[in-house]
Amino acid sequence: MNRHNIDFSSSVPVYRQVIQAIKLEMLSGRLQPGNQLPPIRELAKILKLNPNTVAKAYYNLEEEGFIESKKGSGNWVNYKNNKLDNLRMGMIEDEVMNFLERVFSLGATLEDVKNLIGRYVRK
Amino acid sequence: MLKKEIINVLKQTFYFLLAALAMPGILIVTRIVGDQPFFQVFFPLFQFSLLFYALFMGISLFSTEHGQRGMEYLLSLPYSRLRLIGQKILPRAFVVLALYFACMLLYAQGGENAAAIHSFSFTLLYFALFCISLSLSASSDNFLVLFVFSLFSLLAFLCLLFGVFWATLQARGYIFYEFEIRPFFTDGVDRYLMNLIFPVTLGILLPLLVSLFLAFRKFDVRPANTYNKRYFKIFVPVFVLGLIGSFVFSHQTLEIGYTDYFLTQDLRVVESNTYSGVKIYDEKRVYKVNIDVDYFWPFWDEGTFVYFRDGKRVGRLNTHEHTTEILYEAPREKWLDWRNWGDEQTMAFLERKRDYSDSQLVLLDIDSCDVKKIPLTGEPFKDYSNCMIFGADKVEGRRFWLMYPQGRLEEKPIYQLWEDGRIDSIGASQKWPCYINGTLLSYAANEIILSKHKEGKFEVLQSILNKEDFHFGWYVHFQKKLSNSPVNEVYGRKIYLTSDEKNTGQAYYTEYARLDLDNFKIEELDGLKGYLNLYSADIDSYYALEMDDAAHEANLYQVKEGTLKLLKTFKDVDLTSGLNSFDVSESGMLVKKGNKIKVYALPDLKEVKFKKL
Amino acid sequence: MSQEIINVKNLSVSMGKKKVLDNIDIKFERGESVVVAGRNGSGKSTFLRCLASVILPDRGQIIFSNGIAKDKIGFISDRLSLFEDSTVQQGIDFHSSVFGIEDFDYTLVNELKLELNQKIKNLSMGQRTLFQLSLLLSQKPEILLVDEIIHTIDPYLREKFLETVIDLMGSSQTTVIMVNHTFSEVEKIPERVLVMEEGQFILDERTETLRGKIKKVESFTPIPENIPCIFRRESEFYKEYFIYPFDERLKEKFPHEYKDINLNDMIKAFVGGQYVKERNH
Repeated sequence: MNRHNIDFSSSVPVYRQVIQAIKLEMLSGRLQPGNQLPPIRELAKILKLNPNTVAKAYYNLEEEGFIESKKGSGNWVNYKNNKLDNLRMGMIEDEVMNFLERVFSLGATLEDVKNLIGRYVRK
Repeated sequence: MLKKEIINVLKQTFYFLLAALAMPGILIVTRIVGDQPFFQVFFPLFQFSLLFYALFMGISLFSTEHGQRGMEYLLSLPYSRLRLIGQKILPRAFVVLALYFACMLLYAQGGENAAAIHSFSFTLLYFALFCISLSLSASSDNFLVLFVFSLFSLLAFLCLLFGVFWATLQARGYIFYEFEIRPFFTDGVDRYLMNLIFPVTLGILLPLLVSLFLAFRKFDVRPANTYNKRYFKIFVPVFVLGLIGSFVFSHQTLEIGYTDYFLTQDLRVVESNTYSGVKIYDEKRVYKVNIDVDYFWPFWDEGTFVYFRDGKRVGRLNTHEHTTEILYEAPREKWLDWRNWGDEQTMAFLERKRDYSDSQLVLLDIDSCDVKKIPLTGEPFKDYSNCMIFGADKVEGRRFWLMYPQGRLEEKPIYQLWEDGRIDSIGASQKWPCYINGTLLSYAANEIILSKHKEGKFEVLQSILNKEDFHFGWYVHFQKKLSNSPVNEVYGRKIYLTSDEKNTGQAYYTEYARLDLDNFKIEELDGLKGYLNLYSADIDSYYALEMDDAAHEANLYQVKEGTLKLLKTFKDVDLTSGLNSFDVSESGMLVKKGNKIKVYALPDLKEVKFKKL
Repeated sequence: MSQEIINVKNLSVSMGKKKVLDNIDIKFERGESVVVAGRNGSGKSTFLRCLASVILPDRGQIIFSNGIAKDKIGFISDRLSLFEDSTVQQGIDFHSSVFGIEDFDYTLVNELKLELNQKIKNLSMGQRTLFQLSLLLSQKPEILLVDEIIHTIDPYLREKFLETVIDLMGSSQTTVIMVNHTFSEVEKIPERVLVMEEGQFILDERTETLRGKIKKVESFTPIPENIPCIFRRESEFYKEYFIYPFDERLKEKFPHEYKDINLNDMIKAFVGGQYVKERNH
C-alpha cells in the first residue's frame, strides 16, 4: 500500500480508496485478524493524507465490521471469516463488471470476450 | 526579547566606546598637536563623537531586523507593536542617558576649558539628535538615507527653534540685534533663554516621537512608503500643534533681558531693555530712542537730561527732544567701573583695565564735557585698586574726592584724593564711612567720629557714643552729593542675628535710629519692622519704603525728624520673586508689579497715568 | 467539531494605490485544513500575513476566537525570516523565551543533524525551513500558516515537512492554512480549497464537493455554448474543456466522457480561466 494507489482525480472519494486499499491488504493475507493497523497519524503520514480522512476510513471499516477500535491502543483487524469471503466475491464481481464495461465500450461482443478469456486461461 | 535588545545595545555601545576611546590614536595626535594634556585633546573629540553616538543609537533601532531579514519574524512575535518599539527604545534611551551623565561628569572635571561645545548646547544637540533619529528609524532600511535625513532634520530643528524665538521677538516688538552661530556652540545661550528653550524644544521634538508611537502601531512589512505616509499624516497636525503651542508659550513667558524703569524729575518714564531698546514715556505718547550702548544704566537726572552709562560710555538722554549724546567713552582695553560719583558740576568715574591695573579717576565736566584724568597710583592703589568713592567737595577752589578701598577689611582706610593727584590719608573706619554736608562720619568701636575740613585737612570735630553700633548713612548710594538732603539729620540702622522668642530659628532683625546733626544726639526709632529703604527725595524729609515680608506689604513713609508718616500701603506684594519692584526718586514713585507699571507723584502720591505704558 | 476559530470581516489591504485584499469576508473552523491557491500577486501571501498580523489591515478586522493569542499562531513564509546572525541554539533560546517554551523538542533539529552553534544564515534553505518549523511546533500552535515554501526545498525535506504537518494535524486540532503553487504532494491533505484572484476569493469549496463539480472533457469537436466551461485549451485537433459546475444532466446535453481531474488541474482551470465568482451585493 503506497500513496500512489490513492488517486485524487478519481470519482471515488479518497477515504473510500483507503478503505479499498486496506481491504485488499486483508484479502491478500498481508493483514490478518489480530494484526494492528497503523495508527491514524502514521498512515496519514505515509499516504500524505489528512488524518481526518484516515479516521473516516477506519471508522467506516469498523462500521462494516472489519476492524475494531480499542480505546488507548489503536485499531485492530478483527473480522469474521465469511466476511472476507463476501468481500472477495464482491470485489471480484466489481472487477468483472468494470472489465466488461470497458471491453463492450470498445465494441467487443460476448463471443469475442469468451474466446479471448479461453485463450488466455489456457496459457 | 528585551534581553536580546539590551545585549545588542550594549554590544553597539561597546564598539562605540572602543572607537571613541582609541587611546593610541589620540596619544599620537596629542604628540603631533603639541604638548597639550591628554584631556584637552580627548574631551572635545569625545563630545563630538557622542553626538554621532546619539544619532547612531536612534537610527539603528531596526538595523538588526533589516540587516538580518528578521523583520517579519519580529512582527510575528506575540508582542503588540507598542511593546515592540518600547522594548527597543528602552535600553537605548538608558545607555544614551548613561553616557550623557558620563560626559557631564567629565565636563565637571574641567571639561569646561577643553570642551568644544558648551554643555547646554551639547545637551540640546545630543538629545535632539537622539529623538530625531529615533523617530526616523522605521522610515527606511537604508542606513545612509536615515543618516543624511537625520542631519537635515537636525538643521531644520535648529532653524525652527531659532524661528520660534525670532517670531516671539517680532510679536513682542523687540528688535533683534544680532545672532552669532559660533557662540551658540561655545558659550551656550543666555540664562533667560535657557528656560525658554527647553519647553520650545519639547514642543518641536515631541511630535516626532508621538507620531512614531502612533504610526508604529500599524507598522508592518509593507514597503516603507505605506508607513511613511501614515507617519506623515499623523505628524503634520501634531507638529503644527506643537509648534503653535511652543510659540504661544514662548510669547507668554519670554523675559528678555531685564526691563528697567527710571522716573525722571519731570515725571517721565524711561524704559530700557536689552532687546527693545530705550523708550521714553510721557503721559500721552511713547518715543523710541536709539542708543548705541551695551546696556542702559541711568544714574542721574538733571532737568531735561538723564545721564546714563554702560561699561564703557557715559552719555545723556534728552527726555524732551528724545535725543542722546555720548559724553565720554573709555579708550580701548579700559573699562568704567560701576563706582562713580557726581556733584552739580563734575562726574567722577573710575576707569581701569580688566585686571584692575592702570586705574584712573576720570572727571567729566557736565557743561563743557571736558575730561580730566587723575591716575590712581601710589600707596593705596597699589594694593587696592578697587576703591569706593563716597564723597566729594571743594576747598578753596580745589576739588577732592573721598574714597576707601573695597574688600573685607576690619579697618577701612579713608583717603582724600585731590584734583592734582595728591593723596591724603584720613584715618580709618570700621564701617563704611559717610560724608554728609561737609561732615565726615567714620566709625570706631561703639563710637562715631565726626570730622570736618579745616585749614586744608580733616580734623576730628567730636566723637559720639554709638552704644548700639548703628550704621548711619548706609542708604546713600554714592551717586550724588547729598546737597539736597535734609542737612540736619541722618538715619542709621543696625542688623543683627537673633533667635526669636518662639525659637523658630534665627532671623535677621533691623533696628533704626536717627542722628541729629545739630545736637549730635542719637535717637532710636521704634515702629519700623522689616527692611527699610531710604530715599532722600525732598528738601526737608526722607521718603522710606518698608518691606514687610510677613504681611506681603510695602509701606511708603515720609520720614522727618524721627517721625514716620505712613503715606501709602501696597498690598499683595511679592517681594521674593522679583516680580514687584519699587523705586522712589525725587519726583515720585514707580511701582512694577509683574508687567504693570504704576507711577505716583510725590508728595501727594497722586497716580500719574501713562497712556502707552 | 465545527467551532469557529478565525473570523475575517471586511478585510482590505492596499499597497500604495493597488488594492491587494479587497473586502474579504471569510471564516475558518478549528481543525480545518485549507489550501489557498491563485495567481502570483493575487494577494494570497498578503492574506496569510494578515492572519499572522505581520501585515495589519487597512480596513476590516480579523477576529480570533477566545483563547487564541498571538503566540498560538505559527507562521512560516518563503522569506524564512529569522535573526540570521544568531546561531541555531541562540535562535532556539530566543524563541523559547519569547513563547514561554520550557522543553524544546530537539527531534527535528537532531534529525537534520544541525550544529547548534551554526549561524542560521549558513543553513541551507531546506534546513532553515525545517528548523523554523520546529520552532513553530514548539509553540504548540493552534493555527499554522504556511506560505509557499514546499516547492523551494528538496523532495526528502519536503516529505519530512509534510509528515510533520500531518503529525501536528493528527495530534491536535490545529488549523492549517497553506498557500501553494504545486499540489501534487499536498492535494490529499486539505479539506477546503480557496482560490484567490485580485484580492478576492473566487472559489471557496470543500475538496470533496469540488471534485464532483469540476470535470474535464477531451474532445475533437467543439463544445456547445450552453455547457458551462471555465477554461478551455483549443487547438486544431485537440480540445480540452474544464466544466464547472458539473451536473449529471450535462451528460445528456453533451454526451462525452467527463473526467475527474487532480487538484493541480482544478486550480489551473480556475486561475487560467480567470473565473470570476459572482458577488452578492
